[in-house]
Amino acid sequence: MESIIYIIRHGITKGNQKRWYYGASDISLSPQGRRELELIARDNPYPAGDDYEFFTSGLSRTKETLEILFGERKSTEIKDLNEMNFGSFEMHTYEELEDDPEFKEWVFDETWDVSSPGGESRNDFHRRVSRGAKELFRIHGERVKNSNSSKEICSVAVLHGGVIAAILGEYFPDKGKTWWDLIPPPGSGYKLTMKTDEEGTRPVAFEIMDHRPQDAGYDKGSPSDKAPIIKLEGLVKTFKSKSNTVQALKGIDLSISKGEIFGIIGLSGAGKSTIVRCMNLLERPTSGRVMVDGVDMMSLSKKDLNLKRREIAMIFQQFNLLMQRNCLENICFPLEIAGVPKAEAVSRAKQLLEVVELSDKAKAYPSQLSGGQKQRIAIARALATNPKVLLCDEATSALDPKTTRAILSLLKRINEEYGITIVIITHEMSVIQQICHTVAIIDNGVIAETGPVSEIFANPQTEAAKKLVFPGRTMTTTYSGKRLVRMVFDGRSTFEPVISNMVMNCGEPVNIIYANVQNIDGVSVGQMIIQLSEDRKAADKQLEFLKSQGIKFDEIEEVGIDV
Amino acid sequence: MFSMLAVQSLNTLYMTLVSTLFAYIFGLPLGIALVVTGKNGIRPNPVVNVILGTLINIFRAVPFLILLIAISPFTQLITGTTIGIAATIVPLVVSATPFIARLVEGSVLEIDSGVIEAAQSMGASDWQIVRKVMLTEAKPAILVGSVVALVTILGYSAMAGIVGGAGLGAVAINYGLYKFNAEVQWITIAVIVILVQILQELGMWISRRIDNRI
Repeated sequence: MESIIYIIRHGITKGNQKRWYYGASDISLSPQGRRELELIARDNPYPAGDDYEFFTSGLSRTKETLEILFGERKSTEIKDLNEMNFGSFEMHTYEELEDDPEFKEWVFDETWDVSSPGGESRNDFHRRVSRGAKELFRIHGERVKNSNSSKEICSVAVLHGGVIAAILGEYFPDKGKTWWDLIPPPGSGYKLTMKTDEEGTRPVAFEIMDHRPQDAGYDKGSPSDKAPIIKLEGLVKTFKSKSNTVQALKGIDLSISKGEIFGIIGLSGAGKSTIVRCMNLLERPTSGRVMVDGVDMMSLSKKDLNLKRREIAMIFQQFNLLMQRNCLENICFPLEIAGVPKAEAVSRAKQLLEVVELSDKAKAYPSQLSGGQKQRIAIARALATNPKVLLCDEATSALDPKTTRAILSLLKRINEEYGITIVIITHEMSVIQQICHTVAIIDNGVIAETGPVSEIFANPQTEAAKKLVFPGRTMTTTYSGKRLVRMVFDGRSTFEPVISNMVMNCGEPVNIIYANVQNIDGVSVGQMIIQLSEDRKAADKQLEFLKSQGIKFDEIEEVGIDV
Repeated sequence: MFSMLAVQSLNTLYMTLVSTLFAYIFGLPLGIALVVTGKNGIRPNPVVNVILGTLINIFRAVPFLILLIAISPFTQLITGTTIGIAATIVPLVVSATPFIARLVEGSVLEIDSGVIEAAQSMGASDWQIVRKVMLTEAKPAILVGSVVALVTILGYSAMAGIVGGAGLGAVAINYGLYKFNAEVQWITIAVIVILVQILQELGMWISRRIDNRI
């Protein structure tokens, strides 16, 4: 039996706050909710004739929801699902929310675009939701254990515009692994379906289906390509010269998933450029393995390597355009190499000029372009062969901040529209902040730290990461002996005026020693160091308050260089 | 007198152009080979590179006049004679080829290595890189080099007059030097200067026209 559970995410604005609510397989039938649902139904990949069975919950109007999506369908009612506690992990009916005097309007998170009300990246969303979900499933698991019911909740999917964007998992005792790795990223055109057991309550298999449109530029992959697209294992690179030997990479293990924007950052000389140049074997590693899309790059013959390289495009700091060819001919160049007929190449190149918004420069030579325009042409050239991966080696380092932002948003658009995995090498944290989902920090030839961008920002563990996150850290005074607290904002709580609430609540002042809060991917993250009241009792009260607000914090000994 | 000068001017031009053409047929691939097999080339090969480099240096080190006489058996073998226009072309080609190889090498090395790397990252084969990147990107520089080569070969062709070659050089030597006819000598030199000037300007003009970097 195949089952699909939908969860539709809705947000409301309440006062000047935004809150998100998750409805399990039911949806508000407010006019906008209905419209969203109809949109999903329109793109619904599972035709009414197919034999699917659905979970419904009695929570509110699951049946109605399913009818809009699939017509009248056989469905199994899952009682336990009703007990799931979504929203800010409180249960509300939509009517209840609308009745709230502070309620302003519905916000629908339909796209992953930064301009959307949600404004979150996939990883941030995942992080935030999965944290709540873990909590939820822990509680739920207790309930299941204590009840005699044999039914278990199987799957919770979050659905956007007909494409499953996230699945929350980790609640099966026998399947301790997260399913996150299975999930096709939004925009990739893949959809995930789940096979369940007879009762329709337990997943037995998952299948990723290819639902990408036929006419789109990219070629269709096999349904099973959910594996990491780039995998580096024990990568070592040694540069030898007569006088000395430099070990640029000292054993790098890295895994980059399909469809993500992966940032590699480090100070100059850290070895980051060497890593990316090893990915397409412009630099041959001294030892280790480079896997791209399941292929061991080092094992390829010269000819096969050249074929493979067409799937891995690259752009450079110095653009590296052919100076004797005009823009159109530059974009045609990789197609020429691939043996594409001239007429076809020209029409593809013209199409790409439109993508990078430089159609009027077709006949211009690179010497007549600005830096930003040159990089746009280089990007168009890189996309010509429909690559799966785009490597960017310091692609914005020669550009001014404004142009850098424009190029980065172009890269982001390309990532979203074509599902191309992007690897970005940079020494600028702002580049990572602006578009990367995941970041790896390289220090002295090794990976110091890797993880979702906002996590690393909120809580850098290593010295190398701290150096990059707080570049201008110059604190001359050392505070010690006082009760200092380091608070970390991870995007959940920054909407609340925490400090002023704390002062009002506890009636005691606090001293702000250090604060650094930034907007990353639409979520505010950062840290703040405060000095609590000198009065022990009042200080304990203040800590109690922070705890009640769910803010991550720890008491620290002293503030100095090592914040 | 003037008809003779006109004929000999044409002979000089003919020798220069034909020798340059042949010298490029051999020198261009040699120059490319030097770059390709070089330390930072697309197919580094120290053995081939050192052998080629040494041979080129040896041939460039030998003074043209000595070479001219030394290879006369070879010239005889190819053209069947050791005097006249055809016999002058052979030593000119032999002497200019290594020179041109170095000129081409310099022009190709001027290309930003990043551009070649970009082509490699696109999966271009070595042959495609030579043809579509090196030769096209270095075209203006190679052309400037060819002007230098032309002028040099023109100068050498004059020397061939000593060993019974043809052209303006022969006129200057036979009439000016041996017969003490200063007038003819100066006129001949003037004609050579004008020829050099025309070739130089024409070459630079073409090179500027085809260079898209400006």
